[in-house]
Amino acid sequence: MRNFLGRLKKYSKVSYFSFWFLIIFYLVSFFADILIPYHFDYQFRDKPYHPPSKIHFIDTEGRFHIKPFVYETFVDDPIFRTYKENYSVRYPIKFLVDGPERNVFFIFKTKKYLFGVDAPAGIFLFGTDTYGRDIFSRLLYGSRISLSISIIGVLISFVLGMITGGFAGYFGGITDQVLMRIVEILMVFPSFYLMLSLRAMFPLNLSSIQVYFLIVMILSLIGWAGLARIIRGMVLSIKEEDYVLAARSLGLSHWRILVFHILPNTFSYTITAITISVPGYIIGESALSLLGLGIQEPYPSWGNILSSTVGNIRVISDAPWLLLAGAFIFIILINFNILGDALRNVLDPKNW
Amino acid sequence: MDKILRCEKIRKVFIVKDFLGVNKRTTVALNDISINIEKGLNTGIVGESGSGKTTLARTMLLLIKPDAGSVYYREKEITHLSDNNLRDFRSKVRIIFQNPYKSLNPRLTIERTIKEALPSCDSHKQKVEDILAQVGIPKTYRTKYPHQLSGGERQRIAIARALAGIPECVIADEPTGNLDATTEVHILRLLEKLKEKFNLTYVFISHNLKIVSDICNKIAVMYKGRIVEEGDACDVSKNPLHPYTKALWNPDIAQPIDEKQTKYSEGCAFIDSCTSRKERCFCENPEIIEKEKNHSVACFLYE
Ligand SMILES: Nc1ncnc2c1ncn2[C@@H]1O[C@H](COP(=O)(O)OP(=O)(O)O)[C@@H](O)[C@H]1O
Ligand SMILES: [Mg+2]
Repeated sequence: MRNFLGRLKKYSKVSYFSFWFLIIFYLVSFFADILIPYHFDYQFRDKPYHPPSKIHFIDTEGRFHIKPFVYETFVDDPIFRTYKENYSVRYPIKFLVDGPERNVFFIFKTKKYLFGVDAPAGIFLFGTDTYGRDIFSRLLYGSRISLSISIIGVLISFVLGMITGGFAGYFGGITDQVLMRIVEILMVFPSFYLMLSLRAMFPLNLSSIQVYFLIVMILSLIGWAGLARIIRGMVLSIKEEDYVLAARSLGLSHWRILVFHILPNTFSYTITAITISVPGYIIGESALSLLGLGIQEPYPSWGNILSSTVGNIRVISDAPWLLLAGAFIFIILINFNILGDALRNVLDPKNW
Repeated sequence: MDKILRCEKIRKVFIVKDFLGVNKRTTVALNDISINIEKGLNTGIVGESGSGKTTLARTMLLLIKPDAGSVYYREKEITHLSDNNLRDFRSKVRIIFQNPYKSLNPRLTIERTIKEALPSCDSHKQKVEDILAQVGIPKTYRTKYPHQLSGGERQRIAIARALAGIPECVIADEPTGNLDATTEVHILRLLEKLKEKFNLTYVFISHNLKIVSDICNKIAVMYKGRIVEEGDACDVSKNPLHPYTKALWNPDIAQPIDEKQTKYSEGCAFIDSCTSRKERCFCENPEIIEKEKNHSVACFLYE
């Protein structure tokens, strides 16, 4: 692992940065439950489309405060929904504030939130949506859903692709024929329509957990086919290599040859390919949720946060913070692409 | 004599189709080859490149299945056994490949490479170090990867891998073919030393008659998938019979006589380059017959 990081850093500083950025991003999203200031479903009824809160250090009289604070806001213009700050009371930002009880990691319940301000003021780092829910909390919580779907989906695709591609390429014959025909059937459909029709096979009123796993299954079922096909091709050529013949000449079992001699030599390609495909899963989930077929309200995912902006030009011009989910998808996508590009080089033993 | 391996009339034809599968090109890589490998007698196989030496080596180990003919290991037919049932045989007969840049898995460390070749019961570190010491590789190389090694060092690793588990016969397919002259000498010395130590029998494949006659007790000369001459090493090298063997000693005369390579489907394979060809050589293929004691040749000059 140290070697890997060293090589990555040597290959390019940018990709090294991307690697850590993604690690940190995933860690943050994993601990979303702990980091959020509000429950993702908590509504400030009187504060829809609230812009990101201004955080102050200096009050109206010009005094400096070590503790940052916010002011309570009120609707100034009900038609254009603009907010004004009420300068009479300061609400300093506090750590571990009390709020409504919630579940953390589905394990324990707590009333504590990492940070916040006293009621009736609110702290909205990224503003609020149409129900007055804190976008920051929803994005963070939604990132856990979107990012975990992508990682689990990619891993399932990877394993399926390795197994089927490996078997088809190594054993050939009827196994190969059957597996590749299945793969081709999956590949002839444009993936977006395939995704929709697979989703359509299941009822709409599923519980959120069921929907979650359904999306994972749909996305990995689609992603798996292309990978299997490419791995098969690589296995076909690798199995003719001298070192595979050498392994056979030692009397190793087929299983050992496939797992230790052939498949690892496809890794520099496959790991690059799946790294670059991760954003595809995030976008796939977003697309489903955007169409209302994915994660359902009130549960947030990047897709359904974005969906609230669809077809609503005014929201986009008046509450652009709702588009932050798109910005996150974009950032993640760029970082995975940079990292994938670097991995192609870094994982190749010739460059060690 | 104790026969380890015996090949009987093995034949291997490669059919290469072109892109559309319309034109087929067939190569008869092995044409009814029979050969015996006896315990303690090193057998050399000589021939120019493309004569089918590698194919023969791989077929003897059943890494390639022959299209016809049989392979016997200690007088037991093994031609049609599956890889699983060949396991015992393969721990006794090992191969060293020609190109050490290709024959080592780039993703395995030296230690893992050697461990794979050991019988699973004694695959510990000490054993690996012992074997590395035998082939003159420092034990610090254990954790290295093949690309960090020179060609000579890689070939030593390949030799160590072949020796792990103490085989009785090692087929060396041009083990020095991809190495420079100095390294070649070192590797050949190493092979000789190991032969003494482990009481090995080599099947030594080379295009260099000189090297083969130094190392081997018996020599078979191959040309275009056939054995054209076979016999004791000193006979074949001192008193070559077949025009091709003579040409191997003196490469100048091995040039094709005809400007364009003619294809005679029948007749002797060497006809293109043979200076002493006769009318008969164009239409008949000579059988290999024993001319002198332990010295056979396939040529009409000696009938
Ligand atoms: N896998 C293969 N497919 C098609 N033709 C092959 C294959 N392997 C070897 N040949 C052909 O068989 C002949 C003998 O090759 P080879 O055994 O490698 O010769 P050598 O080792 O003596 O140089 C050559 O003409 C070669 O082109
Ligand atoms: Mg060869």
